[in-house]
Amino acid sequence: MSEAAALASVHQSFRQCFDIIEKQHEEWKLAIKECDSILVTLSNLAEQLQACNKVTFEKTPLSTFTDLQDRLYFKLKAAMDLTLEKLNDNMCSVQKVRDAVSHQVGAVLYVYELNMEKLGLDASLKRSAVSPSVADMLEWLQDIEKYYRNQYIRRKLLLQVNPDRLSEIQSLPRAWAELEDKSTAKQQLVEDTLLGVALFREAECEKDRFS
Amino acid sequence: MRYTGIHSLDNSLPGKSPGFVTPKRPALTGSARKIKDNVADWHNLMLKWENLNDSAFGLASKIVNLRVSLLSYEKMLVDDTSPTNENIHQDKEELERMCSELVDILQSMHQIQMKMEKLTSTFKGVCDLEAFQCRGEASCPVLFHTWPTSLFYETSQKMSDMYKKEMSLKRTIVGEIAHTPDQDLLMVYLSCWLYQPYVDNSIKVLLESMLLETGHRAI
Repeated sequence: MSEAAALASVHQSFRQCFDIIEKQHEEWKLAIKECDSILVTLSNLAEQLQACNKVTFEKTPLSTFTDLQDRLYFKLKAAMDLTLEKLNDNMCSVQKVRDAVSHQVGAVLYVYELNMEKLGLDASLKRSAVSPSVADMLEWLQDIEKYYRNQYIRRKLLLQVNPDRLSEIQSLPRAWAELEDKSTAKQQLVEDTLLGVALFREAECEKDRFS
Repeated sequence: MRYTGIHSLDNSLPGKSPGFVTPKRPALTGSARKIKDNVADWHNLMLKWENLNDSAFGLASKIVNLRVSLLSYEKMLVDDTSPTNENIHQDKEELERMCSELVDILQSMHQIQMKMEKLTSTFKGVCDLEAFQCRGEASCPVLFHTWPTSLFYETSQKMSDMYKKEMSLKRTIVGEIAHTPDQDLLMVYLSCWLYQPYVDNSIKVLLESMLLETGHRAI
């Protein structure tokens, strides 16, 4: 296989990988947004549970309903369990994005390693007006992969609160949003990278069409 | 709003055209007909109750919000005597209006609950009639698949007891919601309203069992 053929197959795998990242990133944003609203519900329920614990029912007009506090507590807990289940489902979608991206980036690295010797250092570093260099793109892919991995683990850890620590649950939406804020610059990472390789992907598409 | 008692499920398909009738099974008559109709009524009443409960909850939370803002405003007045009570007057009128609206909804819910009790007493009547008809015999006939008639009465009794208790809780809440300054208690009132602690989660199973037994739901 010639150098040109090696470069072509590496480029091909880059293109596939970027296509998949673009799709996965949409899923990611969707799942995170869904989590936002679930966490608000959860924090709301925590507030209600706290109020239910704080109020001394015997001293209120509700004193005639002797088992009311237990019943309300049970209902609120059940609602909370249901919400936690939903949250868990969403975190599974988030995890799936991370896994899919990791897998795809791994595949690109594998293709690169197969063709590394034939490609040579010069070709790996060469960039043109349309196409970034192979080295650049490899670095970007690894950054993206790291971003998803870090974000997932941070969010997962944040959500590992004991369901009985109501005040912590109540403050979850804020902590969750802060994670987003800190990573706004990084959030752009995926979008910026996709923008950076837009011309490259278009050119690869053209090539596909004519070959 | 008056419930006229259409004996079919509200969410069922529109009726067949008159020219297309399949005389597969003979039409139900007597006790079986009555029971089947009653079960459909139960289903529809519960739907109506849920709808009213939702709109009442919306009102109740608005009332609570207004109460909280009025309270904080009154506190401000105590601290600093600036007499801009134009807004506060408006808010109080609004509060009054919403409270009377809530009382109206409560009244409609009470009517639904009374209808539920009436359904239960009809079941009781069917049971008594059956007991009279089969006196001296070893066992009464099963009208549908497996349930003895008395089970319909017991189930209906259980369900209407839940709503009765829930109704009295709601009445207490409506009486108190605009008069307590305790925010935690206000929160408890709201969650009680929304989560209906006296209507067990099992009620759905009870209703579905009756629907299944009487053939409203396909097995």
